Amino acid sequence: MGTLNELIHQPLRLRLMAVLVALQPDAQIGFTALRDLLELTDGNLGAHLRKLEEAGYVAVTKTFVARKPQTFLSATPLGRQAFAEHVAALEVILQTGKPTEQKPAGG
Amino acid sequence: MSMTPEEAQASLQAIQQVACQTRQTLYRKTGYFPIIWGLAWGGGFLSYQYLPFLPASILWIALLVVGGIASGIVGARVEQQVRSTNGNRINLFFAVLMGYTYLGFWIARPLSVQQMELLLTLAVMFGMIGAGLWLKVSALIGFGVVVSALAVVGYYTLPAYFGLWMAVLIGTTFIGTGLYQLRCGQ
Repeated sequence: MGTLNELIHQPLRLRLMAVLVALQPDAQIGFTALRDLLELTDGNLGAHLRKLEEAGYVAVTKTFVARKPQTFLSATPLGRQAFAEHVAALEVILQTGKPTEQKPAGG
Repeated sequence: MSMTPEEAQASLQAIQQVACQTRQTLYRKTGYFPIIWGLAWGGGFLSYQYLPFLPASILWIALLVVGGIASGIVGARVEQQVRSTNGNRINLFFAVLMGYTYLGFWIARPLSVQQMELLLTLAVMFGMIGAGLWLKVSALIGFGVVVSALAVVGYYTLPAYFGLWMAVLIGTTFIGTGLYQLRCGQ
């Protein structure tokens, strides 16, 4: 049974992780594409990404594309596992009507 | 923190919505690839059906070059949004597969136009099945098997119209797949 994850539970980070997990495991999304997809500002997205990166859920790769610096993002295996556990916990709540144990942020 | 079933449902719906939106937005543009190759290959097969060998061969080479350039442009645009190591490996795999296929043609010459058309199609479908097995995409495997089977059936039952058969088969399946991807982002 999965446990609710406080870090992922935050609505914006939930959507952010949902985007990253929807990508193929070997794929990375550009910062600009992610920002446009979620309709966020650079600062807002950056702040949430930092928290997820600190928890080890998101990998950040900085590179150059056509001589322009670009940042690409992907969910780490740990992030995918944490997200899957969070989704499993949500499904249990939906099925049983009872809340499950909550995992502390970053855990 | 406790969560009500209603909140859990809302979260699950949000996840599903965002995941769907992600696939539609990011993967939709890859639908241009099968359209480009459906047009290039369809045109190539038609040329062998209705033109003499030499002009048909020149036209097909020109179509392959144009298809390659168009794919490169689309690929560069897609890669600004999403990049994938498997995608690059699969492109390289197909390039190697084509190299070996044309080497096989050279070694086995002389081959009839129909034999080359069939073997080229089977090589590409072999690549698609391999890519499907690698990426665990059953649609790619099914596509490769069905098109291979129909190509072989056409080779033995419609030898006089094989180029036309292949143009219709490859053109409709590739372009149809691309249009579906553009619409649904799958």
